[in-house]
Amino acid sequence: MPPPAADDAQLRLAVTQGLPAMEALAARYTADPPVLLALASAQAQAERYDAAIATIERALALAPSSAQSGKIMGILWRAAQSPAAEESFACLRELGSRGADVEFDLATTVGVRDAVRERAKAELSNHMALDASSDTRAATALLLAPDCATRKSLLDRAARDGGKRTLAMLERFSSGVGCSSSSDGSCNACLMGSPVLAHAIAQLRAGAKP
Amino acid sequence: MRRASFALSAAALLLGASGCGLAGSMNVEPVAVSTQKPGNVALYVAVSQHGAGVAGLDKQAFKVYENGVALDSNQIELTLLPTASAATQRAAILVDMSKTLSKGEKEALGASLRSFIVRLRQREAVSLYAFDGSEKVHLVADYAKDARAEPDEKDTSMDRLLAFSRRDSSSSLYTAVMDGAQKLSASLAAEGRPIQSGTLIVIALNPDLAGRVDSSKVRDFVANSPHHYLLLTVGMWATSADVSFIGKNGETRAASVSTLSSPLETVARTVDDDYFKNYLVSYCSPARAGTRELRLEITTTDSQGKKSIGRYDTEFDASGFGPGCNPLFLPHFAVAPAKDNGAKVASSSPNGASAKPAPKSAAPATTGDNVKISSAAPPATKPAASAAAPIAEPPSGLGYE
Repeated sequence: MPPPAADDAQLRLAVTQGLPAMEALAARYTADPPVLLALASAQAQAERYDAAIATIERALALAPSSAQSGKIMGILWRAAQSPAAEESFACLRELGSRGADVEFDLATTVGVRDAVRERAKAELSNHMALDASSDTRAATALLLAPDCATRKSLLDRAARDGGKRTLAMLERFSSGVGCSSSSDGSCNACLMGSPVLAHAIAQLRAGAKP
Repeated sequence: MRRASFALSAAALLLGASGCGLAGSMNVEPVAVSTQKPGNVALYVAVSQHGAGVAGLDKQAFKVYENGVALDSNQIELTLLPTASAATQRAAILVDMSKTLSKGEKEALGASLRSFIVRLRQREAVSLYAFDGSEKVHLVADYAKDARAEPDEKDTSMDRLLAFSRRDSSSSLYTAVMDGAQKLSASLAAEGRPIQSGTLIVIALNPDLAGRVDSSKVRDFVANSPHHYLLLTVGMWATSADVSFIGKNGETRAASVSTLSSPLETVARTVDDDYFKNYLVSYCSPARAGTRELRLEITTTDSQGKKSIGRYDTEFDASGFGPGCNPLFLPHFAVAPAKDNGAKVASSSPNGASAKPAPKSAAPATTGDNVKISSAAPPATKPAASAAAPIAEPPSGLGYE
C-alpha cells in the first residue's frame, strides 16, 4: 500500500515531467493536497481549467486550509477568464475570503475583459463571502457604490478598515477614475480635492494591510 | 477516425500520399508518415478488415517496397514501435444523471462503471463527466492511463458521480455531447502530441429534452468531429427517439441501469478494437538520393490459410539520407493544420524551404475497395473564449501564485 502522501522528490519529478506524470502521481496519491494542487496547476497550464477546478474542489474537500493558497487563487483567476468561468466563480464562492479577494481583483484589474469584470461585480454584489476581509469589504463597498456621494460617505470606513485593495480604489478616485456606475457621469467630481479622501489615502499608505 | 497530421521533418520530403488496400479486404489507413535523417522512415497506420480492427500483428506481417523492390526486413531493421510513443489516446465518458435513480440503480451504475473505467484506463487516460439539463458537462474525475489499473476501494470518484447534484432538471444530451467533445479535444491537445485519438462514450438515460440546439446541428457536429463516438442508451425511450447519429462508431442499448454490464462490455471491446488496430512501423531506408515510391504491404493469414493483403502507397524524398540510422529513433510527426476531414500533407524541407505540393492526390479518397487514403482531421478546437480572449495576469503583491 503506498504511503498517503508523495515525498518532495516524487512531486518535483512529476512537476518537471508535466501533466501526464502529475495525473499518474495524483492517481497514486489521491488524498494528498499538495499533489492535487500541483496537478491543478499543471491542468491550468494546459488550459484544462474545468479539470483544474475539479481538482481544486477535491483538494479543498481534503484540506479546507488550502483555500488560503495563492496557487489556487492564481488558477481560479485565470479560469474565471476562460470557458470554465462559471465553474470558477462557483469555486470562488466556496473559497471564502480569498474567493472574494479574487472576485474583487477580477472586477477592478485593467486588462480583464468587461464581461468577466461585470460577472465578478455581480458575484461580489450577490454572494460576498461571510468571512471576506475588511479590506475587501470596504473596497467592494466603494466599487459598488452607485454615485459619488455614496462613495464619499464610505471614506471614513475605508480609512478605518481598508488595506491594499481599498487604497488602490481611493488612488483611482483621486486621479479622477474608478467610476463604478455608468449612469453617474460626473462620478468622482465630489471627491476632487477632498481632504477626507487625501487623509484616507495617507492613512492607508502609512499602514496598508495586506 | 483520428486527428492526424502528415508532415515531413528533417531530411526528407514527403511528396505524396496515396493508399490502397486492394488485396483481400484489408484496409490500411495511414494516420501519419515521417521521414528523418539519416534514413528513418516511419508510418503510423490503422489496419482493419470487414470494419473491425486487426490486432496482434507482428513485424513479419509487414513488408516494405521501395521503387517496386521488396526490401529485406532484417536489412532495413523493420521495427514495430509502441504506438503510445507517438500518439495520445483518451476517452471521455459522459454519464446522463438527469434521471432520478433508486439506490439499487445507483449501486448497479457505480459497479458497472467502475469496472468499465478500470478496463479502459489500462489502455488510455479517461475522463468521467456527468451531465443533466445544464448546457455544459461537469467533470467528475480524470483517470490517468495505468496498464495495471485495478478496482480501487479508496477511489471516491464513483461516489462523487452518484452524489451528483442536478443543477437543471431537464436533460441536455445534445449540448453535453458537444461540450464533452470539446473538452476531449482540449485534453488531447494539452498533451501536445501530433497524433491524437479521442473516444467519446455517451451513456444516455434520456433523449435531449432541453432543445438548446437542433438535432441537425449536433448531427453535423458529430459527423465532422475527429473523435470516435460510442453511444449507450438506457431504457425504452431510445426505440422511438432518433439519437443513433450520436453513436457514429457504435451504438448499443441497455434495458435498464441495472443491466449495463453487458452493453458496457461491448463498448469496451469496441474501444479495445480501435486501440489495437494501430501500428507504428519504423525502418531504415537504403535510399540515399532522389524520390522513392514506398509501399507498405501487410499480409495476414486466417485459420483456414486464406491470405488477406492490405497496402499503402506513398512517396518520399531521400535527399540527404545516409548511414547511421537507428529504427528505434522516435519519429517526429510534426503538427500540420488540416482542413475539413480531408488529408493534408504538410511537407517541409530540412532547411525550411517551402513545401512542395503532393504530386499524387492527397485529398481523401476511397478506392474501389473502400480504402481511405487518409484520416487526417482538423486540429482540436480550442474553447472559443480562451482562443479569442487573452487572459489577464493577476495583480502583483496580492498573494497570487
